Amino acid sequence: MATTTATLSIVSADLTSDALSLSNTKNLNAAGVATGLSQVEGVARKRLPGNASNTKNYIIANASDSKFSENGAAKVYIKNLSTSNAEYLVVCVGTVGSDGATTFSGQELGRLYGGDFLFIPWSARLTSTNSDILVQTPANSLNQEVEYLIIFE
Amino acid sequence: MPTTTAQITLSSADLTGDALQLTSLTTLTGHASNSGLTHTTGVNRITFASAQTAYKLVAASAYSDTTKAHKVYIKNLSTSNSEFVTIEIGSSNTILGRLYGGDWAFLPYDGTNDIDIDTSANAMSIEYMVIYEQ
Repeated sequence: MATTTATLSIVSADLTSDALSLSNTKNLNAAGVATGLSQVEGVARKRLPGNASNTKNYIIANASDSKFSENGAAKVYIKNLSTSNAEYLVVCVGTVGSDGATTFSGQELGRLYGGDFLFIPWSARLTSTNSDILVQTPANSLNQEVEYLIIFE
Repeated sequence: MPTTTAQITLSSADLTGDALQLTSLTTLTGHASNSGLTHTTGVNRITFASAQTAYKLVAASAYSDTTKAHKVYIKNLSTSNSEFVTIEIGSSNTILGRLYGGDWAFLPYDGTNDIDIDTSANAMSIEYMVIYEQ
């Protein structure tokens, strides 16, 4: 089985009077065992055409794809490749009819502004509303690009 | 303004035939600006005597402007591979995913929805932090 390591460091000398220096390293294992996650999708780069008038929703991780599991330990990495602080993508968990749909069903998580990334656990849940991982381009946002990686079992 | 950076490294020599060596470094800034995020909850640690269901970890009501660029860090401190924390979003508790022992998450947050957690066993501990802008 593969060995994949994820390290996160969050550092600040002046966020508070107590310098912040947080670091975590973890081998990415399958659910409930010490065996490494063995499958991967990406690293992928995707262009999001967007629309001048409407928000558009794009699928990053599709819960309906049978290769994913609900009760696993999958991880998703997404980065907004824009270099502009004004350009953002809204990250949601839910479902859309197809890539580029103007509406989605589900819950909004937060905004990735230019250069921001996330690293989250993911359950490919199909009960009730799907738990697809979506990114939404705001109106008048054209041709933004994302990178993403899904590591799963 | 404070300067706070977050860096992630994902590496694997054998996940595929092409070695994975991904690094991303970002400075945590406010929405649509170069100014650093200014506030934090600090790094909080909670130990739950019993297994939890829908424990409200981050309350949307404290972050009411949904245009912001807050960040949330959550770690399952368990050393057991079988103990997990389930992250849930919003009033419908839509499941995002599971953090098994030692796993962590780093995610953007805009205050639209609460972040709740379930814990799978008694006596589990977590750490979390929100870095945010007013």
